[in-house]
Amino acid sequence: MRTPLTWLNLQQHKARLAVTALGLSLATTLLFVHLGIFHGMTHNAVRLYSALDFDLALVSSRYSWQLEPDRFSVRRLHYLRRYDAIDSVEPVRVRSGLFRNIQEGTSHFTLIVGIDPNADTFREAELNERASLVRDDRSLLMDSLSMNVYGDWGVGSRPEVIGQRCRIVGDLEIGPGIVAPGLAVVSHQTYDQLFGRENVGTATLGLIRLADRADPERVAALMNADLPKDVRVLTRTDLEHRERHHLLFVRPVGVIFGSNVVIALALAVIVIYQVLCTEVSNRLREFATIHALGYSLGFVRGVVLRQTAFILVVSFIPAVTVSVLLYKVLEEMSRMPIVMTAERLLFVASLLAGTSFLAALAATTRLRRLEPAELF
Amino acid sequence: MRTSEVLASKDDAVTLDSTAERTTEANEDAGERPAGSQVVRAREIHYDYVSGGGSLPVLNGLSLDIAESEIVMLTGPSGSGKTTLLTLIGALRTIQRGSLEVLGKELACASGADRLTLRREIGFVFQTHNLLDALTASQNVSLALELKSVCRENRDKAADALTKVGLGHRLGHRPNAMSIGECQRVSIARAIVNRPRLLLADEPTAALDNKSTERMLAMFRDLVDAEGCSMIAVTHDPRTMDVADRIIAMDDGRLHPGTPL
Ligand SMILES: Nc1ncnc2c1ncn2[C@@H]1O[C@H](COP(=O)(O)OP(=O)(O)OP(=O)(O)O)[C@@H](O)[C@H]1O
Ligand SMILES: [Mg+2]
Repeated sequence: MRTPLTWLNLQQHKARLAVTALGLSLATTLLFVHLGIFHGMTHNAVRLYSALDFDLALVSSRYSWQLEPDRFSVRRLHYLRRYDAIDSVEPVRVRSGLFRNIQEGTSHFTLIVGIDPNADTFREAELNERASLVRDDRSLLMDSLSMNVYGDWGVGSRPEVIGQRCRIVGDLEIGPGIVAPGLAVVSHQTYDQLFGRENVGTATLGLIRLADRADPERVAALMNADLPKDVRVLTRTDLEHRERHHLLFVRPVGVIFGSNVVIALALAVIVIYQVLCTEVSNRLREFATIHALGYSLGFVRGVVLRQTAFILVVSFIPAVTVSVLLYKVLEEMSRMPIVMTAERLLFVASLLAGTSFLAALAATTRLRRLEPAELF
Repeated sequence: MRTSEVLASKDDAVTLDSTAERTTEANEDAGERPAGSQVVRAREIHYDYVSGGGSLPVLNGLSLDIAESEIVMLTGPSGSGKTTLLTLIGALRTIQRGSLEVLGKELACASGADRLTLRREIGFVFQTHNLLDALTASQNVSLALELKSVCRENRDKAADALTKVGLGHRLGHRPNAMSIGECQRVSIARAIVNRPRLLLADEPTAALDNKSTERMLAMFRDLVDAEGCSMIAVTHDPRTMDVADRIIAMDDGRLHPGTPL
């Protein structure tokens, strides 16, 4: 049997190996957590839009993001019905309002979504069925994924929303997003009562559903050429992209978490590179010796790569395990969808493998430069 | 003492016992030997170290022949280029000018792969032992054996070699559990275990006591006589001169004028 050089090298300094693997594990876990949060946030940014049923959206030209949409006249939306490509349109209104926690006397912002209870506003039938419950004045549906800041609410509770006593007639599951800790669905009528008569006849978001086989991009371009300049039509992709962009590059929270991801990425790469380079340079003289004895550089590189691969695997597995557990905790705490995806596993695994490969390559380059002749 | 030359270098005179037994075959016909029986044939070799802006000439047209079954001791003042010459013969560096044939292979134009193959035929005893820390004495020796073949007998062969250097009882010990002299003996075992045709050693006895030195020298002599291998050793150790067939003094990148080819 061949002398198991890789294995003997690895287990010579067990404590050092453990510290190395721990360091890599921590860096990897940190990266996973930040990527998870980041992904959860970008997903969350469009959670409401993902639930709504539309191919194109009509928004005010001054639309900035979900919470600062500005309103426009619904006439603009109905005007679009003349297009053959359009199947149906539906005005929706979104605005935030204060919701009072009666038990604690504190007030919290809630995303209030005004819809027509008789129309199919959502993609899922289940949601539309729930939405039909808000026909009565000042009745509302609470999002069960809302954070626990609104006190003990349930069907029949009578919370105070924007200073007006309302009644909860049921719950539904959309996900409030990061814009507000909670979400409530009301009828257009209730919306007007809550926010004032001046909202009558306006919308903040016009849902446009296209007939089969209509090309969203083309129809949007056509409509934009036709419509007055105070509104514009966006495809779903455009709208979601704008929403994510606003979150990541304009909202402080997005900027902070975005830079965290960059830092975690750089940290993981640097830690892995450094740790592996140190590991190899500690043995550089030994590697030069076996090369002098007659082993090829390929053989030496093989030993380095196997050592590297082993360290990677023993640090990656615990990192993934811990990250998945942390995701569960974070998901519970933040109500954001934070889950491990195959893409992310693959991305991080290839990033680490690539970095280690580079580190191993750099090490063998140094090996080539350290002439075996220097051993004498 | 197997040589009668009195070799003197500029700084220090190594005066050898001229009354000692004389074995001169090696000296008399060194230059004219048929190529087959020569292990090393160096002609006008040059080597400069190039670093930074300058270059330092170390070997300046050195010529040398080493025959089969010959033990040659290389002496000379510090910095005279002894180690450099050893690394050139050991295919660890490439000469810049001249011709250097080792074990029938011309090294002036040899590829990396050729030099690697050649190194497997050579036993190296470095000035520092250069053992692998994570491996036991036996594994360190086996590693050299595995260059030739991976088989069950390697373990016994490694044990034999270690017994020869007097370390048969330390097979399972790692370098950090052994003295410097013991490590040096393990490295000697590693160098001889493959029955090399050429043994290159840099100060092989520097870390050894008298008893071990005697033992190693006797072993080298046996190896050379029994297997027909050749040995070139850089040494300042007067104790080693006894086993030498020839003593060569180097000075300023050449053989000392008094040294026969
Ligand atoms: N890698 C190197 N780069 C530059 N110069 C070197 C290098 N190695 C050796 N030298 C120089 O080359 C000269 C010859 O060195 P070498 O090691 O061959 O001498 P030596 O005869 O073995 O000396 P010593 O008896 O001290 O070991 C010395 O002047 C040394 O400083
Ligand atoms: Mg030297």
